[in-house]
This record gives sequence, C-alpha cells and structure tokens, in this order.
Amino acid sequence: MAISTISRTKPEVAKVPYERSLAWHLTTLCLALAVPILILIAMLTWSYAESERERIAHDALRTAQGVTATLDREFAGLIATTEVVALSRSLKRDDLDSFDAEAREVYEQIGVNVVLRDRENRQVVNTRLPRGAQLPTNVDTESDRAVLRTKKPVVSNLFIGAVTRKPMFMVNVPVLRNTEIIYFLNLSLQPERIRRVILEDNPPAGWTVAVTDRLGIVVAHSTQQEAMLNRHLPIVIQSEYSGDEGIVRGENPTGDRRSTLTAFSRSQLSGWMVLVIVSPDQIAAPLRYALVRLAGIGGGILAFSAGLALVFARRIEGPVDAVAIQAARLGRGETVHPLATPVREVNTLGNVLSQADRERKAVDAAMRRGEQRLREMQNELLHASRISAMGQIAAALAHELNQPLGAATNFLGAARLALKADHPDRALARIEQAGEQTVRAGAILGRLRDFITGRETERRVVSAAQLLEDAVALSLVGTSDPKLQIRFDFTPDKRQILVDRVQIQQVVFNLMRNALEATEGKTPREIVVATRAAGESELVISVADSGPGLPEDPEAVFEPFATTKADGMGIGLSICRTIIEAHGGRLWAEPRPGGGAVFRFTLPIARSEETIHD
Amino acid sequence: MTNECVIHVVEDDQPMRDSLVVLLEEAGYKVRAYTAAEELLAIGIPTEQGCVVSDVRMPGIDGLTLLRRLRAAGSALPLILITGHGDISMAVTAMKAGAFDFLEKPFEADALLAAIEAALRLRSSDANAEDAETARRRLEKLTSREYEVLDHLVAGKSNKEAAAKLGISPRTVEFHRAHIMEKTGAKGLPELVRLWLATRALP
Repeated sequence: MAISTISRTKPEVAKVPYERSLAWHLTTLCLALAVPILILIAMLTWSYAESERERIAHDALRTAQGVTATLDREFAGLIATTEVVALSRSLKRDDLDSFDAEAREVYEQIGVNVVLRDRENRQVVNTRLPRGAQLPTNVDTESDRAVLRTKKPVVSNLFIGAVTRKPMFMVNVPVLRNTEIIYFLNLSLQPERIRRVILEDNPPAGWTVAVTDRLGIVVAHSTQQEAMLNRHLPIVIQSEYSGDEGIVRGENPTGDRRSTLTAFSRSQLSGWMVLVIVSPDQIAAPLRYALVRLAGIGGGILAFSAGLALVFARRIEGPVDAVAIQAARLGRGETVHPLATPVREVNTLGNVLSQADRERKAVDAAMRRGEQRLREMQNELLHASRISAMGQIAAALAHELNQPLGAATNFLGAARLALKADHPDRALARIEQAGEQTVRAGAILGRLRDFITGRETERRVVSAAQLLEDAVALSLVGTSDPKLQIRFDFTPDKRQILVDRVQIQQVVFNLMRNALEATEGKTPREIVVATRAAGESELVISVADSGPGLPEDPEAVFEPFATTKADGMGIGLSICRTIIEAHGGRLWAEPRPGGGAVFRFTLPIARSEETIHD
Repeated sequence: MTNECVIHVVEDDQPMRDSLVVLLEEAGYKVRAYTAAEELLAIGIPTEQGCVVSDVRMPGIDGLTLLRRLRAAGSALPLILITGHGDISMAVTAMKAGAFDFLEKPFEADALLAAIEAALRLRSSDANAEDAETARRRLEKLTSREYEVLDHLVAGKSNKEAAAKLGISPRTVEFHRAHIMEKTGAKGLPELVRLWLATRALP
C-alpha cells in the first residue's frame, strides 16, 4: 500500500489580508459590547453632573435666601429699635436735649450711632458728636425721599458718613406727629455689621456671600476682599439680577470674571440683594468628578472586557489547538483520540475527526484486503496464464516430440530389417541412433516438466545467463525458421540474480513468444537477448526484436486484456510486469533504433553474501 | 522392388532425415535425401521410377507446394506426405491436389514401407478410380447427419469447429465421428479422406 508522504512543511494557505488571532476577535467583540455600556454610563454621569450642578445652584439659592432672611431679621430688629426710640416723649415734646440724652444712652447700650434730623435735613442730634457741637448736613437724601413717600422706615444705601468719612448705612425712620413727618431718626451702622450677619450663617467653604445695596454697591463680602467693597457691580450684570431671587450663570460679578454660578435673593425690607457666588472650581468639580469617574469606569470596563476576552480566548485556544493536533495526527495516519474539552463544538469536531480516523482505518483495511485479494487473483491468473501457455507449447511440443520419436521408430525399423538381413552390426548402430533420439525426446519433455511443475515461489540466486538461455530455448520449441537469428549479448562477468527462477523464465518466455510472433515472416528476423549491469545493484535484461514496433503509447501494451493477437489472452505483459515489480524491478517497452521493439526489465543483482559459488 | 526405383526423401530435420534414409536403404531402396524441397526442384524433375517422401511442414517450400510444382512440371511421381498432428486441413488439401498418401507422425516403419510399395506399384490416378465404387459402398451406410460431420472433417475442420458450424456439442461430433469410423471401417482420418475423395471422383 502506498503510504502517503507526510508533509512536514506548513501547508500552503491562501493569504488572508486580515488574519487576526482569536484573542483579537474576542477582544473586539467585548469592546464592541462595552461601547453601549460606556455610552450609557457617560449619559448617566453627565446627567448626574447636571443634577449636581442643579443641586449646587439650588443650595446656593437657599443659602442666599437664608442670608436674606437673617439680614431682614437684623434690619427688622434695627427698625424696631429705631421705632422704639422714635416713640420717646421728649421727642414728642420737641425736647431735643432730653432726647439727646436718651439717644446717648441707646448709643452707649447697643453701640449704634443715633442721628436725628429735621425736615430740612439738618442734624439736630448726633450721638457721635458731643452735644452742642456743629453738626454736619447729611448727604444721603435718597432714603429720605423714600421715607417721605411711604412714611415708613427705610434702610438706606451705602453712603460716606459725614463725620467718620467712612462708608456706612442707616436705618431711616420717620418721626410722625399727626401723620406728618417732623423728624428723621437714623441709626447709622457700619458695613462690618452686615459682614458679621453674613458670617453668622456660615456659608459653605469656597462660596462667597456678598450683599449689595439697592444701587448695587457691595456692602459686605464674606471673604473680606477690600478691592470689591464699596464698588458697583458691573452695570451689565446688574440688569441680570432683576426680580426677587434667581440664579445667574456667567462671570463672577464680584471677582475674577471666571465662569461661575451666582444665586441672588432680594431683601424685602431693604431692597438690598444677597449674592451667593459659587466658586468656579466647585461648579466644575461635579463634571470633573464625572469625567474622572467615567474614565475610571470606562477604563475598568474596557480592561475587564479585554481580560475576559483573553481568558475566553485562552479557554477556546486550548481546545482549538487540541483539535489541530488531532487533525494533524489524522493527516499523519496516527490514531485520533476523541476530545474532552470545555467546548462542546470542539468536542464534536474531535469526535468527527476520530470518526474519520476510524473510517479511514476501515477503508485502509478494506484496501489491504482488496490488495490481498488482488494479489491472490494475480497469482491465480499467473497460474492460469502458465496453464494457457502450457497448452500452447504442449501443442508445439507434441509436434517437436514427433521428430525424435519418428526418427527413433525409423531407426528401429531399419535395425529390424538389418537383423532380418543378418547384419547385427548395422542393427546395433541403428539401435544406438534410435536411443539418441529417445534421449532427445526426453530432453524436450524435461524442459516442459520444469515449466509446468515450477510451482516453487522461493527466490534463489541463479545465473542470469543460464536462466535466459533455458527460457529462450523453451520459447523456441516448435519454431524452425532458418532465417530466424537469435543472438545473446551477455555481460562478460557472470551475473547472478536473486529471483524466482520459474517466474522470471515465464517473463522471458512471454517476451520471446511475443517477439517471435511479431517477427513472423519478417526479413531479417532477428531477436537479441542481452544483459547489462545498471550500477552495482541492478541488471537490465532486454529482448529486442525486428518486428513492426510498438503503438504510439508503449504503455498501452501493458494494459490487461489489450491484445493485437487473434488468439492471445492479452494478459501476458500485464502479468510479466506484475512479476518483475514483485521482484523489485521495472518492465517497460521502447522502440528499437532501426525498427522493432525492445522490452527491458531490471532485476536486483545478488549481493556477494547471497552468491552461491558453484 | 526394382533397383531402378529411387526414393526421394525431403526432410528438414536431420535425425528424422537420417532415420528415413537408413530405414529405406535397409529395406533395399535407392534413396536420395534432400534437406529442403528447393534442393529437389533445383536438381530437376526426376525421370526414373520411384516416389517422393516429404515432410509437409518445412521452412521455405512446404510439402504441398512441392507437390504442386511437380505436377505443374508434368511429373506424375507419387508423393507420400508426412504430417505432424493437427495438420489435417493441409493433408486434406494435399490429397485433393493429388498426393498419393499421407502419414501422421509418429508412424510405424512398416506403414511407410507399405505406402511406398503401394505407390510404386500403382499409378495414383488408377487407385482413385478403382476404389471409387468400394468407397461409395462404404460411405452409403452413413446417416445424413454423419455425412454433414464427415464433410466438415474432410474439409480439415477440428471437432470443435465442426461442432460450432453444426450447432451441436463437440462431444456429439466425437460421437458421430466414432460412428463414421465404425461404419466405414476406416482406421483413421487419412483413410476417411481417401474414401471421401474417391466418391468425389465418381461421375
């Protein structure tokens, strides 16, 4: 059986331009699956950041409202205090000296300067200055106008104190007599007081709380930034702070103009405004946190995906490699084992391979049986062929035998006549001649017996020349053409071959009979049997004839049952080739230079240790 | 058995030729031996009394051709052919062409000597005429089927061929053949052919 050669080289695989590892494909899959999750997380994070900013804005507004309430309470207290002072009897009596004394008592007790002005805006009492001193004229008339209009207490805007020459504000309360305003009673206060109020509310760290008066001048600032105090807020920004409360996103109205968020709330009592400015850093913090978290989670998910992909790739690669190994074993003709891997499909594949292996073995076995059967049939055919050839030569031999037998009969007849004529010496000579002829007949029979009974199959070391001469002699039985020239052309050294003598004789016999038939009636009729050594190990034996030659394809003559002969079995050359190949040789045909055909075959030359020295 | 009679032996096989020569010489004949028909024809048509003993199968000119050449040259020398086994068709043709007799190898020496004696004694044409009536009588006992078989056999067909032609089995042909031999009293195929030829010669 021809065992297919095992290719150790990598099989030629069509070049795929995008060949990637399993790990790569799985990683791509995992990352692709991770993308929607990442988008979802990004959206959630973004909305979280948004809501966080909303919350901050809301907190800021609440803080502003809280500060405003505190401020209003402060103002309410101050207004109440002022109103109580305004109810003084001495004031009703226009007894300003007594009132001055009362006011100084208030100044001493609660530490606020009390100023009383008449309708002409002249200060008549000022607790900051000694009684009787020259009193200044107040510059702030805006609150006075409001008081005149409403006849109710008003908190003034910030103004520069006439005495202290410092920014200050006041609670301006009308002193009424019969619904007519006769005096303005003022409690003048330092902006520092407002700052304390702001700080009382403990604004969250990083936040700035500022209070402006109705004109937008910063009265107090939680971080005590002097640069901002007593300044107007930018006009553009002021317009945005309309209404009682709200949230404005934009530049920091009091600071560095960085983008920020400002909540504002207007005091109902004073019309002042509380601003809560969230630091830009704090506004950005949630978003930054969200981005960091997004990056963290995203990175984590991607890393996890990649890791998972690698783990699964490894888990699949192992079984895939196992299948590849089994497939390679199948290719090499080794036993394929079923697989037990964690991947069912791979196991299925392994089972299929194993099944294929079993089937291949079954086919191999069937083929071996077939080949065995073929060999048996060839042997049978060989025997049949020999029997057939035997039939052919038996007829020829019968004719051949008739010659010596007839001659012997004649010699004996002559001997009998000689005896009758009383010539015993002549009779004796004739009997001897008859004897020679019977010996000749015996020799012919001997050759036939060798041919027929040659059932031995063991190989022996024989002389190539002897074997060829015997076989040629046998093939020439029944042929008596004086024009036929048989020529032997043997190598001078006595070559010995290890063969089954009878089988090789059969081959030579067949080739000779073919040559004889091919040259029938040809002139010249020549057959040359030759041996040539081919290297140390092979002997080439050739039978060349001067017949009509070979068909265009010389191999055609070796086809079983292909014959040009009317009475041939057409099996001869096919069998011959089988015999020669069984001896490890080759049999082929080629045209003979100058016309005719040459059949050549090779046989192994017997090694010296096999040679029998006879 | 006159001394002027010459027996011409044509035989390519040397031992056979030698044995024929010594046998015929021992029997008292004057013998001339030739290794091929060409030799005999080259010497010229023999004029003396005698007969020719020739092998049928020879390289070159065979026995049958030799017979035809002799007749063509006007020689009436009787010719006895020696055939191998299975050359019946050639033997039949030879008989038709005017051979005196044929012997199948191997033959007994006496059979040859008897045939030669007969040949020397009789002219071949007379023999046929004399035997014609006897032959007809010997053959008339045959059935029509046996006649058919005989026709094929004398035409040189083998049992197998005759069987195929007649659409019967070879064994049946053998059976018929044995019957024919029995009824006619012929000892072998050559005699049968001679009988058959004799009846053809009848008007």
